[in-house]
Amino acid sequence: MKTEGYAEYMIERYILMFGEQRTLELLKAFQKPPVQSLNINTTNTSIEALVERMERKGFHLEPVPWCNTGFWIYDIRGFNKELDMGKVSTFNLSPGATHEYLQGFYSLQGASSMLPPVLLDPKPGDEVLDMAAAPGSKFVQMAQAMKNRGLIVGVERSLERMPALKANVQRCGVTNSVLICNDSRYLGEQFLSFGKILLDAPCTGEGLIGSDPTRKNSRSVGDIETMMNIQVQMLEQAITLLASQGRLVYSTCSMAAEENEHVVTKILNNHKNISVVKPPEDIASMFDHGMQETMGAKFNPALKNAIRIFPYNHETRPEGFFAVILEKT
Amino acid sequence: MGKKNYETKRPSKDYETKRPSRDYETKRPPKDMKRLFKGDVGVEVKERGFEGESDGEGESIPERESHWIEFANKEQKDLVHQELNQFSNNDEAWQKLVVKGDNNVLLYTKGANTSIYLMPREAKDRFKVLMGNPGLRHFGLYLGNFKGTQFNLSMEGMSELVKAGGVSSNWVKLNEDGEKSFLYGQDIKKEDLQAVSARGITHDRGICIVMNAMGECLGIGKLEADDHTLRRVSDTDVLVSNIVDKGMYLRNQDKT
Repeated sequence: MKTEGYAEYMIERYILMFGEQRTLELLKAFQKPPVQSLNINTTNTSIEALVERMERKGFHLEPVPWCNTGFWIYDIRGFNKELDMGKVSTFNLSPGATHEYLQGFYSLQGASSMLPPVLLDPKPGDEVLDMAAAPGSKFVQMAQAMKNRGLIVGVERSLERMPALKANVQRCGVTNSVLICNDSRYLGEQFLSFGKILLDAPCTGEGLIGSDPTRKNSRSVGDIETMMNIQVQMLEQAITLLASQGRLVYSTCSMAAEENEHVVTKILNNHKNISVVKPPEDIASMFDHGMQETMGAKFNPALKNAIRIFPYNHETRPEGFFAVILEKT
Repeated sequence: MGKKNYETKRPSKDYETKRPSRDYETKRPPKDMKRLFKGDVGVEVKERGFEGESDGEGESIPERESHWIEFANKEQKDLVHQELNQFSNNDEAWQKLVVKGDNNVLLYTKGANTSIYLMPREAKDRFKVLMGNPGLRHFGLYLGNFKGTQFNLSMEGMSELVKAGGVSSNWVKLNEDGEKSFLYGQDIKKEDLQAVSARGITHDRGICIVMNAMGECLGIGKLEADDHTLRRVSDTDVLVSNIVDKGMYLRNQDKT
């Protein structure tokens, strides 16, 4: 079998996890990068104003249906919605170098990665923790939903990634944040408790193969196991910091069940006061749902309420993603 | 005779960390800091390094510089207030940023640098816990820093001030070409200018807010021309030099 540059174990695992037909669809979708997307910072501008300004600069914006501030970016010249939604445009001016970007009117953000903050649904006045905050697009998305009210704390382990996080926070005018450089696994019980926590955990990142083909063979099965152990530790810490009645969104951009359903099942087994919350039906219906068993492993039945984004779920080929809402009773 | 020292009374206990965890080391500020700021409460924190920074095998984790956070005292707040007043009429800037924004004014000292941050009052109790964290890297709105007893507004502070509609003096507006070149770090010439605030640049150090034609903050400039109204100037002279501009978000984003 031709593996098209994929490490052999990956294709085998995909077939075992998703079946032949879905694996073919997945590999086909991974052959082209996702359509570029942005998230409008509504604390600095309005959606209408930015759409108009971007059009004047040659960018056409099409709404992302699962995030009301999210838009895909196309070259405005000759754009035809019926034909061109899957088209990857090339631009004379990079969307990451416009004056509007520098003014913090938007962040460049993968359409899939807009989903976890939407599921967490932070509101003005909330107290929110982002346990792996850099480079900050989801962090800023949550802060804008909070309208700079309440408190949002971003924790990032890597000192090297802090400048990008801080620059995004400052550029986008987030004024209710605290940024801490620390390993989220070791925040300890003395840290604050939060009503809303986002854990977009570090992962093997298989869902990003469309935009970064080096990931076809840059990870090993051993890496999956390593990441899984880290994810369990981080999620355990998140549960400790979650307030009673609090909501936690766990997400990764990995396709591996070990980093997703397995991690969450382990936590559900360890904590009887944690339950899975059903996501809004209009969002869940756009994607696949979590697996209940694969490769001989059975997961918690409630994981049917987890969301799995496959690049073939939409013609824009969003990055592969997993997200689940957990609640503490 | 040296510069006047701040007269610091004991700040309110609101930001005082009573029982720091064992990771934190609370003590009186070092002598050199006391020369400017006499406050002896607050929290000083030794920042820990992380494994990735050590020379090898994670054996020696370096200790970084400590920081110190406390309420700004009246004199420090007055200096901030005075600087804000140079950009607005009738106290508007202070009112919009601090009073209506319902913010606490906090003083952050790290090494020789002393900065002012605004933090929402509603987050006070939570922040009291977080301010002692050795990994703290940023909080609230970075409003600016002190050089001696002189307060300099930051670009983020200027930007918030413009967004809040608190600016009426000491500004220049650039045309489209001027905006582009300023964001590339260039100085401002006559051909870049679209408008100047009514009385020209009257700031005591020649500082001005640089905006685009739509009134959005692009950065901070400093008057270089002899004529503060920028009317009697030559086409080729630099009128306003670029102190900082928003293009730095791209230029600096990978720097640590």
